[in-house]
Amino acid sequence: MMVYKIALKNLLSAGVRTWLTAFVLSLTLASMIFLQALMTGMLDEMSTIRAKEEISQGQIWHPDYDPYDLTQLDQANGAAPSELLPLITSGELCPLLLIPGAVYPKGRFRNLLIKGVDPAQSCLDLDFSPLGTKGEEGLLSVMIGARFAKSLGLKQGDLLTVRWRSKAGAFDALDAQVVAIFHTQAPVMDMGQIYLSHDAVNQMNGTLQNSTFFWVNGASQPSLSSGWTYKSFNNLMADTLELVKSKQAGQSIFYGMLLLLGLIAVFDTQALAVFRRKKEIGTFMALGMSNAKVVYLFVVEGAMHGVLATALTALWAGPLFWWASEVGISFGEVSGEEWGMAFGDRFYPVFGFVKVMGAVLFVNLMVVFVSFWPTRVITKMLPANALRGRLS
Amino acid sequence: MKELIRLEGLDKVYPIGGEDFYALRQVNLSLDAGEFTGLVGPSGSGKTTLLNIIGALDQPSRGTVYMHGQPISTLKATEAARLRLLNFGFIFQTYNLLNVYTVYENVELPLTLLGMDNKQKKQAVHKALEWVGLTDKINSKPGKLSGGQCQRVAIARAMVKNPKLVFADEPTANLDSENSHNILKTMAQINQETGTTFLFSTHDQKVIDYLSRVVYLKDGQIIEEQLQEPKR
Repeated sequence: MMVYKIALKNLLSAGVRTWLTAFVLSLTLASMIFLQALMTGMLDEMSTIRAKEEISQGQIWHPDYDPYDLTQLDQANGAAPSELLPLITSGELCPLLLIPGAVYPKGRFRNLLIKGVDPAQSCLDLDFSPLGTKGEEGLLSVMIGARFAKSLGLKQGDLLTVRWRSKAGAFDALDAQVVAIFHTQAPVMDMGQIYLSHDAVNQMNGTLQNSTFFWVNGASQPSLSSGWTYKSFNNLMADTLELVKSKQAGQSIFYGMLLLLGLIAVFDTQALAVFRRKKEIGTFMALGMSNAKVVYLFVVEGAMHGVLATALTALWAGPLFWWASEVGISFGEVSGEEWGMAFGDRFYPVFGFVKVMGAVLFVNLMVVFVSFWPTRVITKMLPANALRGRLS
Repeated sequence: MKELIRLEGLDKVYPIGGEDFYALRQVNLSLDAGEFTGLVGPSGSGKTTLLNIIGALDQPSRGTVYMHGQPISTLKATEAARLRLLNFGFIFQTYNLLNVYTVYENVELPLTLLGMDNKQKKQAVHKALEWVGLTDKINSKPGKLSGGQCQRVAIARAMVKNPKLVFADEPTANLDSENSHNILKTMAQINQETGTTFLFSTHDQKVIDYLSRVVYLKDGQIIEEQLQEPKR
């Protein structure tokens, strides 16, 4: 108890120096917590958006489907295996048929993917019901994402020519009408693709009820025995997780530099204190305090910088973090569309207890370590030399 | 009187520029309990070095220090700290008070190190401050006290745990004549009332006048010892 009392008194008597050191550490701690929270929030948001608007809870892929090989796309579809039929009927699986194609909006040409979805699907939080209606004069109904529509210069009601290559290899074309423009925060569901009804795309493809994959509307994995493969949500999110991991590595360099600054301040304070307070150390020793206890006193003093920084962070950054998690943070014009990632206009940092405590613990442990380092010299000190202001 | 300290063949050597400098050479001395003794000599005569070695603040290069017949100069750092805590009090020329502490807290510190409970500590601190006449400054910080008052706090701090031996290194060096006499009177009075042994290091005639035994040092050697009637 005495050691803590002395340490606290010494710390407070150091005045501005103590507060500056604590402030630098506090800044480091707050940055670590905030950047981690931002990344967690971003990942959470991307997971939510991708689950709602792109991946659902998982997918079941045709044996030949490879999203990175578009040349084989026209062959990568087939009728649903019998074990999946009850799940399709009950709405637990939602079919998607993908075929390569092109559009000619206002006479211009643009390659794209034609996606056939069930207008009544319930796997994604996107409304494809307009595809259940016919366009004017019986034209093919097409839906387009808002960003792609803007890029093509199309709006609801506009006409365009759709050309495709069927599974048999034949090229054909039809006029279609944009019956709806939808909004999604998942860029993968927007740019470079148009949506038609599943039946219509099957008709264009010369097939009956073929699909490229199924969205799985549930957490359980259906049993499969026909070569179709189940892709879990985490599996499909792997690219996003990799991206976040690489961003986190970049971040750790940033807050590593900040931490270094804070630790240098603590080290400097402690190293200076040992040299400046030799007489005080000698007095403690003369009074009967053991070298180990004097070292402990200095380490406690150093560690108190960490405690003070933690308290400071809670004081100034706590309310700021709460506010940020409530209203989100806008980065102006930057959005998921610009970054090619699934998130909205605002970031909502998520401050998890474990991560916050982890950062606090890490910073405090580092502070204790750098506090101990310069004070080791005390263990070699003779009291007489300390009293004379010398180091032995 | 019973022997408290005995020194046998004490040398303290510092290597300076490849040569050995003898701060102490073949020092033999015996100190009885209850003495009011001074090590007297000019600057560089080795009196502070000797004081530090006896007080287990420093170690001799050769020779042995005994306390109650037990060698104490070869103790490990932790054991030496324990020895100082239980048996020795120190009064320094520059007081060495902790400026962030009040008078009460400075005097209380040795008792806290001893692990004494708060009630006992309070009684002992008040008694020590009564000895030195500073009960009215109990909550003052050392920065607000005069040199004489600071030295009296240092005396109280040295005396509060009833040590067997108090070391006073040039205790009057920073004090005016009146303050010097006051603190010397206080220490002499404590010596008479409690039987605590005092060992001074000094070249101040005012201090020498209060001593009952004077040990003269020159160039690290004892050149003369003298018993005298103190002029108090």
